Amino acid sequence: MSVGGTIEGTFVQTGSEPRSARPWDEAGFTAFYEATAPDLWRYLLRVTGDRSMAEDVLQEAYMRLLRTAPSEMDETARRSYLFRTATRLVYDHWRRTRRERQALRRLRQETAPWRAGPPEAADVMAVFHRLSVRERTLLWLAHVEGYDHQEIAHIVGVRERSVRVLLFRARRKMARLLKARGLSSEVVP
Amino acid sequence: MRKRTCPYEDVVRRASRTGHWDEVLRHHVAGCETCRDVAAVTRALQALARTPLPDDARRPDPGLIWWKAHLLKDLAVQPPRFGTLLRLQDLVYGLVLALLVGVFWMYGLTWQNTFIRLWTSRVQVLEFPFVEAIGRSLALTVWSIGIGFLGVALSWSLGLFQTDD
Repeated sequence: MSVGGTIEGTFVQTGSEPRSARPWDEAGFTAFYEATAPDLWRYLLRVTGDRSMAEDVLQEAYMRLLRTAPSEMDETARRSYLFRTATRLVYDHWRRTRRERQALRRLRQETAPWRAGPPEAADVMAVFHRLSVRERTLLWLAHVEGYDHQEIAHIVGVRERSVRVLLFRARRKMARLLKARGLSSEVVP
Repeated sequence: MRKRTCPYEDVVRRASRTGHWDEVLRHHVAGCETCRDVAAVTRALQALARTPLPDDARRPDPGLIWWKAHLLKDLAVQPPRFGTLLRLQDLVYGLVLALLVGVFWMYGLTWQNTFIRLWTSRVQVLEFPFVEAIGRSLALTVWSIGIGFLGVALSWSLGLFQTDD
């Protein structure tokens, strides 16, 4: 699918060009998407455990980036913007669909996407999904994406000091669950 | 739960992600419960991130996202112009209503009298003393129902007057 034209407001940045060289064009956007979407997609799939929700959130995050992100954003800021938007969309969706999720919990256990993964990944995913959605996002951003406390605070919209405490508790909880499943041996190579 | 953080947490987290451990750090982690948790969780989540799941490859198409954003941008710049059409529609509804009210008003009394005459001629055989009074009540009831319907139609129409534009 190809649509001509450009979208003003957000600018493409490639290695050889100055920062605000030209507005997004489809090729530039596709290149940016291919560079950033795998991480965001993986984050959304693991945190939500729901492919359709992950798909909706991913699309909405990129559309908001295209339509509203300031033009002076660099690559890192855009990436952070995507994670922030996606995380808040997940939180909103989670709040709105609490009842439906409770009703479908049993069904989810049987049809969750990680059931098709390797045994260890399935175990870790099962442990991961015993945490709350906020704990999952915090842990993923810190331990997989490698964001520091300040960046996480910006993404999830809480104070940096709160992130430190929440992250500590989430990590403690997950470590205990891993230990209970016998998944925490030889943590140092 | 008592909070016991460790100043080496970030270093341990980084080492667990990159796999670059030194002896001092290894020694520290062996004796620090908080850092052992950090290492265990990082290791588990890294393994989870590395393990491909069936849905990993099925990302939405960037062309579709681009197209949607483009469409929304166009809609924001040039919203569809339904205002004139909706105003015309309101005018037609208003005219039809005015016509209905006028017809009802002009022919209402004639209709009532006709109804009563028909009623009395039909039920005359019963020789009931209040036949005409009952007929008049019935005529008034039907008239009231008609007025009620008009009221409902008018409210519905007024609802249509409140357009979004």
